[in-house]
Amino acid sequence: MKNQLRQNTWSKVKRQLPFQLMVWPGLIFLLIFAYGPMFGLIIAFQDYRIGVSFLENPFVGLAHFKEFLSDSTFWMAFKNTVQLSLLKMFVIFPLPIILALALNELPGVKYKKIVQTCSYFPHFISYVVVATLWINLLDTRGLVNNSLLALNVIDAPIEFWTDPAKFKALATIVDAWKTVGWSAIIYFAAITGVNAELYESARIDGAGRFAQIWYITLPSIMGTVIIMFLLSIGGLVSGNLDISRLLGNAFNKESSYIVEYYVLDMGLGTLRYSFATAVGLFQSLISVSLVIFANIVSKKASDVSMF
Amino acid sequence: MKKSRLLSLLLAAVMASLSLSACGGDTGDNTESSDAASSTESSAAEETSSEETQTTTGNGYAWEEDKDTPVTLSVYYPTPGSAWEKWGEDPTSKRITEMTGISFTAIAPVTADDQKLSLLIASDELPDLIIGHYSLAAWGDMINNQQLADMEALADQYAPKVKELISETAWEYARREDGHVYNMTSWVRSPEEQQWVVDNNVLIGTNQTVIQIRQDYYEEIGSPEITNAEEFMAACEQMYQNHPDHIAFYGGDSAFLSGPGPMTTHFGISSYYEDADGNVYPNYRDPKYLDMYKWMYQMASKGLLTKESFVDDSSVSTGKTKQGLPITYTWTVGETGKIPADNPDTSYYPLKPWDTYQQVRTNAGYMAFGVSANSSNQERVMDWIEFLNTEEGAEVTCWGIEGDAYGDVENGPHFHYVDGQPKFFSEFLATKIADWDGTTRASGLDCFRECMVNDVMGDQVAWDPNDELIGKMNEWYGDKVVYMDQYIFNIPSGSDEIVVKQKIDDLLKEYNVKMVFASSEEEVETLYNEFLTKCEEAGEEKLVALYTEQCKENKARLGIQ
Amino acid sequence: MKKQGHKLRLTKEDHVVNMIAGVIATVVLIVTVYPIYYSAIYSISDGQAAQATQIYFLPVSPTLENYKIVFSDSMLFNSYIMNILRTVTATITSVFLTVMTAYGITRKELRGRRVYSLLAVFTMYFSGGLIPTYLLLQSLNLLNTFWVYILPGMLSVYNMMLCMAFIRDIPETLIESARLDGAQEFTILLRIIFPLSKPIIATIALFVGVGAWNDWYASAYYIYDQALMTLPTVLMRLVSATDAQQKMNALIQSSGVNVMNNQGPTPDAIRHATMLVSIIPIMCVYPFLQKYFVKGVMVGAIKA
Repeated sequence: MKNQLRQNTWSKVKRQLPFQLMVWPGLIFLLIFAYGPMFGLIIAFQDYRIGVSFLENPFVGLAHFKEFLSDSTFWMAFKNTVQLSLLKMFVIFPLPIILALALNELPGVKYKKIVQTCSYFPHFISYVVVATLWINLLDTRGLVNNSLLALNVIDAPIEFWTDPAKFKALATIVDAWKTVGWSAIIYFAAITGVNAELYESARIDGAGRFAQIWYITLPSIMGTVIIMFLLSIGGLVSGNLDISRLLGNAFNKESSYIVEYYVLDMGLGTLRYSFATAVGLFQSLISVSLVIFANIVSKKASDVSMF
Repeated sequence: MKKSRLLSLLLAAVMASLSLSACGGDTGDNTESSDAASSTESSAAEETSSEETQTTTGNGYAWEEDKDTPVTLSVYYPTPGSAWEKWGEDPTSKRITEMTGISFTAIAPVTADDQKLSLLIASDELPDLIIGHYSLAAWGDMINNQQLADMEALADQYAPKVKELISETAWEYARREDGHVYNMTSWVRSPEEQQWVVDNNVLIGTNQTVIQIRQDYYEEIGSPEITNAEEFMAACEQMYQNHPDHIAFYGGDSAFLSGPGPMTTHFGISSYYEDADGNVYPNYRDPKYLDMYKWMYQMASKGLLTKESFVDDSSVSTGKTKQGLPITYTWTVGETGKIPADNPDTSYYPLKPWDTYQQVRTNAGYMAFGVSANSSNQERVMDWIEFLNTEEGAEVTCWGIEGDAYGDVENGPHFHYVDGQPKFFSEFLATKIADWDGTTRASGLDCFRECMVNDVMGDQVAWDPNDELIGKMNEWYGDKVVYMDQYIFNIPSGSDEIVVKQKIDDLLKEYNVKMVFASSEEEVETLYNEFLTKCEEAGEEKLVALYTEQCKENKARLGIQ
Repeated sequence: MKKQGHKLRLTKEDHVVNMIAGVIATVVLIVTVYPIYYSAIYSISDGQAAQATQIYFLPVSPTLENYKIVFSDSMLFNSYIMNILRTVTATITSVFLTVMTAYGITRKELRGRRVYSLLAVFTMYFSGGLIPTYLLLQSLNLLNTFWVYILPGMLSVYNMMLCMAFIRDIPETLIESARLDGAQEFTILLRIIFPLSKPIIATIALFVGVGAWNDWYASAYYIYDQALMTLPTVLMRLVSATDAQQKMNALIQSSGVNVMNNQGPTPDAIRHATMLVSIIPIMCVYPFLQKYFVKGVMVGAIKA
């Protein structure tokens, strides 16, 4: 970059200067605090022992990668992680948008404010509390089963937590419930930015409420929606450890065990930092490839992109 | 963390006053001090007299000589929120500082993991004193990195009396291959102490594995005698028929979450299995293991053992036992006396052990501590270790202030000597039982004892040898406990073996529920064999090799036949 | 932004839309308020009793014991102050830096913007891990200082992306006309971009603020000095300690003397109380930010 700058004439440099000055403070923070520690990724190719300097550990090449790539448990965890993320991307992702649109259409301003405020409460509740609450509610002797039994809807309690077939749906519901209100905030902000005159002229043209949502509100916030979607693509191969640990058990392991859990079991739990780093690096590489790919597609299709 | 707590309590409950007298004897500088049995009575007399002379002449301890120079030592303590982090707020730590000049500032994790210690190791910033469970993998790393000082050398240099104050057994157990002692484990019993425990029949602690049974439902079926697994199953069936809305048999406090847990003890399966050639395997290779799972399968197929036992976390399962849902459940003696919410007139009480019952324990110790090699305060750390292992130290840390009559929680007096043994005043005990947390917090007693190796004076704090329940449990379970110190194993952190062990643990967790909830008894056997095959694939032989070798070494080192 | 004030006759479609919106809002309201309510009743219940009876709607054996324990922690007050200081500082610095960087990167004039944004996006997916980060902070002498709360996370790339998406929608004509009036680039940033970005600033301020308020990680790993500990860390420690204590008590109580206590706090009850103590203040911030989400900020700016 410096070379490019030098080649430019002074006036060009002068015009560049304010913009460069705007971005460099932030970039310096990134270079120090995000790129600084990245030398630590080297331990993915070593047998790292705590307390030994990063260059003195024996190099083992791709041994750690081979270990997990040839481990069927890893692939089970990988499959679950991707499936849960896909549910998140296609089921949970639209919900905050719908919520934001619905609240925007709500006639009463006070009620709207109250709902808006309350909708983000679950974000503040720790996963431990969330999990305990849900586990108790859906226990075979919990409120839900007892009520259903009392109403004769069912003959025997539903085994919510010990049935692997139900885990992903439950995890998605819990995740949605905890995140939707919070995620909607960004769409509230985006909708706020829509030019009110557009609605006026649409109404004059005879557009109904649905048409206004479809032709004005949605297209106006599309930039934000696409960016949010691109960001979520990067999360395809990472999962929510809290949900898996707290709601997972020996019965539903085949559908609740995720990569993060695997890392905890096989890496961090036994202080194998090298192994944990190797798995993490593998995830990062996939994430970045996906994001770059998605970004290219998005740029071609919609002219919205992250970089 | 949970296990270590249990262990501590167990030992707190079973250990006794043997070395109390040893400490008393140590006021002289001979080595006869460990000959405890004979000096019990004289120690009482010595105690009272030494207290008067202490202030003027002292006992020649290093901590007494240095007490006029105040120092603040840093300590790593593995449990969050302990009194260590609030040194100086309670009267006990204040008294200790007054006596020794030593104060502490603690570094502790916020959640109960050891990441924080890893960071201290990685950055070579270890505090002066490091405390951690004896089996903590990071000890190996600290020793490898030469971050720990040789404690024997430090003792020679700064506090020679430490070598006598701490039992020879403890030194031997702590010695590493290179002949040095880098960390020391507390609660390692000397042969005399072990003998004392057996002689006094106080082997049983509050964490002894038992089956608790609801007395009202048990009486309904005529309280039949139950001596084995089959009779137990029959009784469960009968009681469950009477109360189908209850759980016939339950694993208390998530007992079955990661494996068969306490069932191995009921079936007399040790933690390890030694074959005829002396190869040592994890216990699932024991032929009785399959029988156990077949029994559990039968329990499950009759609806006596439900999936709940394999799912409920500690909080849910405590809730269920409080509601009185389990008719029987397996957990510890400590649960005895719980009153089910649906019937205030009854309570849970342990069953007699089955004929097969056997519990194997080791004398591996509990908390270990080491001194940082970089510490500039090594001398004072040794003072601290010496102090805690003297009678004065034990007294002030665990018992508080001696006197003729009870004063108050903070300022004492808290205890007096009866026949040479310390006893809390009954008023203090009553206060303590009414509000254990509050009393401990206000008095600071019993909070700083981790470096007490011959942890003796403190032992009776939680222990009343005259208690009826403990007496009964000793009678029932006393001869069912076996010590096998050859099974003290040390798997290095980051090693292949630890990975194999982790994989096998995961497999067990998975096959545990598969076997119990199989569709037929044949399937249990098929699954069991599948489990064994998978263990082999996971590299079982490496683990077996390590166990076998360490077992042989232990036998040679500790002189076990 | 829709104006509901228009005296237009409501069509059938309006009724349908209002009803759908109303139903969605009400369902969301019930579903999201309940857990806070649940925590509230649990926190004022006797822990043991709550465990034995499964509470859902009403507290059992109401007591303030749980809160008494929380407030008896000697570090609580100090950590509260520290948390406020940290949150305010982090929010102000981070929002300013994030908006400035985001605006800079969205400018077409900026040379190297592709590289810069790629550089930034990378950091969202790669990180060195706990130990290298710790060693870096150690070598920068940031460990055990207040700045360890502020500096490492000062630029959030995620928030920057959100901000960039918003800024891109600001009409270029506004910037051009300001430039024609002779405004410097930094003046444009301060006088035009910042005011026009109020909704997104409110959003990322909320994200950063809530993140900083709830973060226990930095304090748990990078701080040793008790005086610098923040609220979530102190509360988390309290819960861990109660947890450990509880396990101990269960054993002690029946050893020696056979007393079973069916009353008293449990780790769960303490957890609910600590949670409420820590989140209620930060939850109250939202209504103040809300005005930025319901008014047409942009419209006003364009007309002015």
